[in-house]
Parts: sequence; C-alpha cells; structure tokens
Amino acid sequence: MKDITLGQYYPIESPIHRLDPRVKILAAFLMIVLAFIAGTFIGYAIIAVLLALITITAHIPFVSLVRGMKSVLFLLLFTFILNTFFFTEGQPLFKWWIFSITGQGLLRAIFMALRLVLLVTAATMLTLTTSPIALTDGIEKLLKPLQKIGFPAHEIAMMMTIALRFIPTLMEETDRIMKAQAARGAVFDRGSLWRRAKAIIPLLIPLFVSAFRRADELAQAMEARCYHGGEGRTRLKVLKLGLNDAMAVLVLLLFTAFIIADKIYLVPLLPFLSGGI
Amino acid sequence: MSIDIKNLCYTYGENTLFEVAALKDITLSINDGEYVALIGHTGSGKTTLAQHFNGLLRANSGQIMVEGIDLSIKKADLMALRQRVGLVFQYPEYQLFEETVFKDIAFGPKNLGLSKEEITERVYSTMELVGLDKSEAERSPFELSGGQKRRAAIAGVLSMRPKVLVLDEPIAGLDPQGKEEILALIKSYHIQYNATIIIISHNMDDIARVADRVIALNQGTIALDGTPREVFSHYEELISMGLGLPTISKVVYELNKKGKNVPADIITSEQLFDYILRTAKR
Repeated sequence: MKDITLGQYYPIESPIHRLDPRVKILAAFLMIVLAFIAGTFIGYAIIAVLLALITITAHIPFVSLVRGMKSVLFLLLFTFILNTFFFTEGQPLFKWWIFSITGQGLLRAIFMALRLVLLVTAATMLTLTTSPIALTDGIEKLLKPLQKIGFPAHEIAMMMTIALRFIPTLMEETDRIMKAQAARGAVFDRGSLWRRAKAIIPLLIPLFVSAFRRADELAQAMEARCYHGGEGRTRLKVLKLGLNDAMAVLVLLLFTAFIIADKIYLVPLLPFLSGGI
Repeated sequence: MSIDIKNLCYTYGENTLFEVAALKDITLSINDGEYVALIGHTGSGKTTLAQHFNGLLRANSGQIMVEGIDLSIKKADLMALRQRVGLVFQYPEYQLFEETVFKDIAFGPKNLGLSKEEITERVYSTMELVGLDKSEAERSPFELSGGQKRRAAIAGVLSMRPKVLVLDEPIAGLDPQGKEEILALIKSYHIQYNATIIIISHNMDDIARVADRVIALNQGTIALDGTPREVFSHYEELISMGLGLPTISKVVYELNKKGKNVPADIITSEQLFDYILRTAKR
C-alpha cells in the first residue's frame, strides 16, 4: 500500500505546488497528448526533460517517482512483450518457433513503454503537486462551461471532494477493524483463497456499516449548515491566474512547439526512427 | 510476571517522509493480576503501547515478554499470544459484524478452535458476566442499544478468556450508568479470572477509584509510574503533560494553594471524607 505514489499528494511548498490547479490539469493532459504525438526518441527526450524540470522545481525526490512506477510495472512489461512479439512487419532480427522479433516491432515496443512511463509520470506529477481539494476545485472550474448543457459540474466535484476526503478516514478505519478482529483471532493472510475470502467478511461488514453511518452524519451536518448545491455558492479560495501561471503556460507552449517541430521535420527524414507508427 | 518490557522503541512509517517516533525506550513490568491504568495526552503513545501487548504492532527494538511469550522473536506464536491477551479497542461496537449476538461473541472462541459445547458454554457465561440477558443471544447486534452493543463487543473479547485484558478507552462516549456498568464488568472479570487489567482512560476520577497502579506516558516515554495516590499527587507535572486531575485532587490542590496543609495523596471523596473526620476530631 505504501508504494502507491499514483494519486497521492506530496505536501510541501514549491513553485509547482503554487500553480493554479487548472493550469496543472491542462498541462498534464497536454503532456499525455504530446506523449502520443511524439514519434522520435528526441521527442520523448524533450518530454522527459520537461517532466524532469517539473520534478526538480516541485522538489519531488526522483525516488518517489520510481517507486510510483512499480505499480504499473506489470502493465509496462505486458505491453512491451506484446508489442515485441506480435508486431511482425519488417525483417526479423531473431526467430524462434512462432515468435519473431523485428527491428520495427522492438522499436514500437520501446516507444509504447516510453509513452506509458511518460503518461504515468505526468499524471503522478499532477497529483503529487496538487492537493485533492485544489484538484477538484480545478476540475469544477474546467467543467463549468458544460453546466450550460445540464452537466452537474458542482455536484460531481463535491462528490469527488468527499470521496477523496474519506479515503484516509476509511483506510484508518480498515486498519482498526482489521486489528480488532485480529485481536479476536481472525487470520487474514493465510489459508486457501476461499478461507481468505471468508476472512474478509468480519472486516467488510463493520466497514460498510461505518461508511453508511459516516455518510448519514455528513449529510446531516451539511444540511444543518444549509448546503443546497452549487447555486450561488461562493468560494473561500478564488482561483486566479497569476504571473507564475502565465510563465508555466509559456514554457509548456515552447516545449509543445519543439515536439511538433520534431514531429514535422525529423520524422519524415528518419522513417526508420518513426517505426511506422 | 505478566508483562516485561525492556527498552522498547517503536516508530511509525520508518524510513518514510511521515516518520514519527511513537515510543522511545520504554521499560516496564506488570505483575499478574495487577489493575493498571495507562494515562497520557493524545499522541503520547498509549494506544501504540497497548497494541504491542498482543503483537498487533511489533517493536523496532527492545525486548518484550508477554505471558511467557517472547515477542522479540520474529516468529513468535501470535495465535497463542492473542488467546492470552485480549485487546478491546476504542468504540469496540464498531467491530460487530455477525447476524446474531451469539455468533459475534462466539467469533473469538471459534478462531481458537474450541469445541461447540465449550463455545456455547463460554458465550452464555460471558453474556451473563457482562450483563446481557440470554434472550438477546439471537438478536442482531445492530439492533441493540448503545450500551448493550458495547457490552456485547467486550464480551466478544472476554469469551476468549484472556489472562491479560487491555481496554482502550472502554467508557468513552457512555452515559454515567453505562460507564458504571462497564467498569463493574471489568472489575468482575478481574476478580473472577484473576486477570491482569490494563485500562486506557482519560477519566481520572474513575482511575483513582479502580486502578492499583497508574502509568503516565508523555511523548512516548514513561513520565510517572506508581499507585494512583503517588501519581496523582504530582499535580504540576500532570498538568504540564496536558492531563487532568481527579476532581478531589483538584480540590486538595486548591486548598493547599490557599495555605491549608492537606496531604497531596488524597484522590477520592472517601479519602477526603476520612481525612476531614480525623482532623475535625482533633
């Protein structure tokens, strides 16, 4: 559990942490899109440099990013192997039984893996540097235009805020109930699959009961303070774009230009590098 | 010796950003059949220490022997330990899960692998001990009243017949009557099974009344250890640790501040009453 960096917030002060959440959300999206547009090693290198710059500016230790990668390692290996063995165009470099590895296949596999790594890193950077509250605030603001066509932007954001806020509470609760049942001789981590599944019941039932109790209490507490949805609701912290945000956008656009230039001018010159993707 | 701890240290989240030293160099022995109260400010390490008694948390360093089981060894027999040490968590009613009160109380004994007859016998005798009527056995634990739920949950631990009973704030959030009932059932278990009791509580008046010994924790170390009379006479120290005093201690403290010469180790109303009678006669 401790190794899951994806989706975790790293609570420190940094220029990146201070950026407007909207900028960071859009930046993460942009980087993910760029990771799919880029078609050369140079393109990927540019994105990697950008992410490294962000990581340094955000004072995030690289170790924690690597640790976060662990959770997607399986997916990474899986796509790599799939792409290596099942992409059969071009001259085979290596042949054994029904498997053959081609240069293009290998290249494609490497590109796919790189894309995944960059994608996960971009998403991880977003959550590491943006508190859950700021994140949902940003999402709410970004979704606001959709309200015109009846999309419940505020309600969705509120639901996300509440869900995120209760994750640590429920984790703590799970830990406590697990310990309480272990103290009564329950064993969670031994025995057959069936026994383990059954052992979860004394954990799940109290957890559900308490989750419902909490939900009920929260609903009443909100009602008692006259919560009635998003209509006319003002904010404690009004999101405002500042100079820092403008600079961040500028840097992002610069890097985007590099990658597009790379795509337009380099890829046609080096057809092998593009790997036919 | 029921519990023997030497130089125990425990740190939460070792080698991470969120590292917190919860217990620092704790050395402590608790005798068989003692009734010990653990007091301390929030975050002083009481609950962390309590969870070491039955191996839910394992010390980073130091020796810990509980009921003859050496917990310093990695492969210590935790099942045997948990049979001997019962731990009642804060708000134990939140761990109820079975369809009936009977089944919930039987959960512990069943995990111990006892026979059906033995389990039935234990469930009913424990229900009697905690003051639950036999007719409640087939009800859903979720239908019980607050106080009954708490008693049913404590029964779930008592039915394992632990030699050491550790209770983390067992009377929190109960009305005065419910509180008395819980304290009474702890007392009767203490006497009936000659069990060692370790109780964590913030209610100094109750501690002054029931405990043989009080251990005050402060920032992960033992600050005071002695009989309630000894510990509660350290007014200033207790207050500086963010702890309260028994009501009577407060009265004595105020009297002494006004120049009266009342012994500082008077902590219950009976003791104060005795003292007044004696001094009045003179």
